[in-house]
Amino acid sequence: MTDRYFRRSGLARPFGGCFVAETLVAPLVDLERRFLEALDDASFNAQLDMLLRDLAGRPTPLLRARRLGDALGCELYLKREDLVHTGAHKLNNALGQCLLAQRSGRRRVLAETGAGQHGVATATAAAALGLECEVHMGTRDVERQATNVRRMELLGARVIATDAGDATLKEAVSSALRAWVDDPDSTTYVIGSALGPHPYPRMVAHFQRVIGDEARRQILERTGALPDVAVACVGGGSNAIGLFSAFMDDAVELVGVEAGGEGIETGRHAARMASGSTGGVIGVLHGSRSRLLQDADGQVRATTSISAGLDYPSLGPEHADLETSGRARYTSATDRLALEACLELTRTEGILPALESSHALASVRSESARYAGRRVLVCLSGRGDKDLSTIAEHIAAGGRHE
Amino acid sequence: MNRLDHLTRQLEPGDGHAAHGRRPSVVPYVTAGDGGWRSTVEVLHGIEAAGAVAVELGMPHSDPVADGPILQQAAARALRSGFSFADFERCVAQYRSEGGSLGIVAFGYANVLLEAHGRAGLARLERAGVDGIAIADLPFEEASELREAARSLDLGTVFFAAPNTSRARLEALADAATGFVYALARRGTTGRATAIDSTLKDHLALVRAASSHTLLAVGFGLTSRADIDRLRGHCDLAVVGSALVEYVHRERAIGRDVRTAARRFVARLVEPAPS
Ligand SMILES: Cc1ncc(COP(=O)(O)O)c(C=O)c1O
Repeated sequence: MTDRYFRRSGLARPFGGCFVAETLVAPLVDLERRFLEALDDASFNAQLDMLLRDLAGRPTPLLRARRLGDALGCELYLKREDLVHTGAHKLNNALGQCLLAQRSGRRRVLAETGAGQHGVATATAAAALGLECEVHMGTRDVERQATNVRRMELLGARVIATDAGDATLKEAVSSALRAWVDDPDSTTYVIGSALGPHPYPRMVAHFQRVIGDEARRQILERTGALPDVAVACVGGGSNAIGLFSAFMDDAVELVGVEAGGEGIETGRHAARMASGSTGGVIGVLHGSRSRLLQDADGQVRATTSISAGLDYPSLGPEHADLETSGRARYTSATDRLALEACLELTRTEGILPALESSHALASVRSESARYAGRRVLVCLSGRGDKDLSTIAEHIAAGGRHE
Repeated sequence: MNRLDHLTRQLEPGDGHAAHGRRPSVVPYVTAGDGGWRSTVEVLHGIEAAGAVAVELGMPHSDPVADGPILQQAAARALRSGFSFADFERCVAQYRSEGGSLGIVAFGYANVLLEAHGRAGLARLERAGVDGIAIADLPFEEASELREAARSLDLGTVFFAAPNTSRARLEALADAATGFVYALARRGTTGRATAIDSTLKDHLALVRAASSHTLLAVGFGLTSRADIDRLRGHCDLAVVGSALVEYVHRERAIGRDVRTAARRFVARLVEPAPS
């Protein structure tokens, strides 16, 4: 069983794999087995579909954004993951993993969170399924995302703040992994993005694929055609892989947008792939091999982004693979451009998007010449209520967004 | 045969050993670069003077997910002072040039010991005087590159056995280990105290049965002379890390000599308690 686990763990080499302490090998092998069984289990799938419909509010709409599209000169469609219960796509995955944990008799789930969205989603799924929940979060994010911390606590979750390192998403993942290794038998780690050791990247992609499947069906119904381009922001890469998965075999250009922070040239960013030769090289962090922002000795570099959810030095191994094969293209958007895109969508379409999702919109704005007259599908991964204070601070500091 | 074999020769492994009820040999763990590279050389000399035969020398990593707070902070201190892979080499080479003869196992994470510098990095470590390699986040199934390189460089390899490792895997990982098998005394990260009870002893007996040809080390949460005494007859090597790192750090902070501090701390562990 373990042999087969390891044989399946590598994506296209060298990416993926299982680089964990020995104590986590048995729980991961077990998790993979439970996941593979669930894939073909009609009752699991029926229960998940019901939760996605009645708790999460799926399917989410596909909006033709006419005013913004006209301004940009393209035919713009927004997949409204901001309308998923709790405000982001994260709940799709949290429900899948928590249901799996519950049906395997686990008592408790652990999660990490950056923006707080995955923490809230996991706390919500845990509450709905009667599981205990513990969410790990860097102290800097606890400050930036105070509202989400309060929501998690109201939902009955314990929030564990860690002040190691930069005290952001990376440290939250490390902290959650340490908690899991303490109690691997009655606990399951519910990871929030397409990261981590096998089978997590594959499992998260599976649970997020609903984004792409729905969007593909909706745009075909609406227009009779597929989009020319599908664009998503990439933190760990879960909303992007969920969107991309449905279009993998189509003639659709796939574009992932990373956090350009204060600008690639400043070195203060979280663009693992879009930063070219100064960017991420192959390395191992948190259990899998992918592209990683690191120094020559393999020490992980600090990252910078206005978006807590994109502020992470590595990304899911499937994205590293898609970039290498050329199937997807990766670009970046700076804090400033993301903020501008956020405000523009708010005023032209009446939707306040999450700053993460605003990076995807920003890249469409920056590359509007390239997309002129084309059909562009953007994953609007979340809503921006959680970012109100960050947005206000930046407007006050910058002055130029009147 | 590899450079860790002198350990094996000194401490015949296997049932014979355990049956004699010999007290395990103490293998201290220290984070390289904590207090600066020269301080680490001094600590190594102190450990040797105390009578230990081998040491685990930790290469600091920015994201040590298997470590508790004490070793996390030690690694962070080392990296903040600019400690690099080249400094790690320099520590070992300097210690060797000053006549140091401890068996040295470079201990760390896959990204810093294997990914960043690859086979060339392992060769550099071997030239500096490292005898073996242990990587906390590298299951033996992911270790084919390490095993190949170690074989040709004459370095010993160490693989880990956890309390939840299946019997079949125990045998396979013991086969892969050319240095020793490192049994984790419990779940969790480094640093927290471990109870040396019948559960642990049963686990060690299982690991021992699967790995009779290799030395068996135990670590995670061992802190005192009494801990080592209680492991008598159950393993060949006992690793003490966080407790030593913390002690040396405290002594350094109040201006004490680290060589003396390390010697004193390790000597107490090496000596059996008076019966
Ligand atoms: C709204 C939103 N979008 C995107 C992300 C980035 O995550 P991923 O790349 O896994 O989709 C986050 C992460 O917190 C988020 O909250």
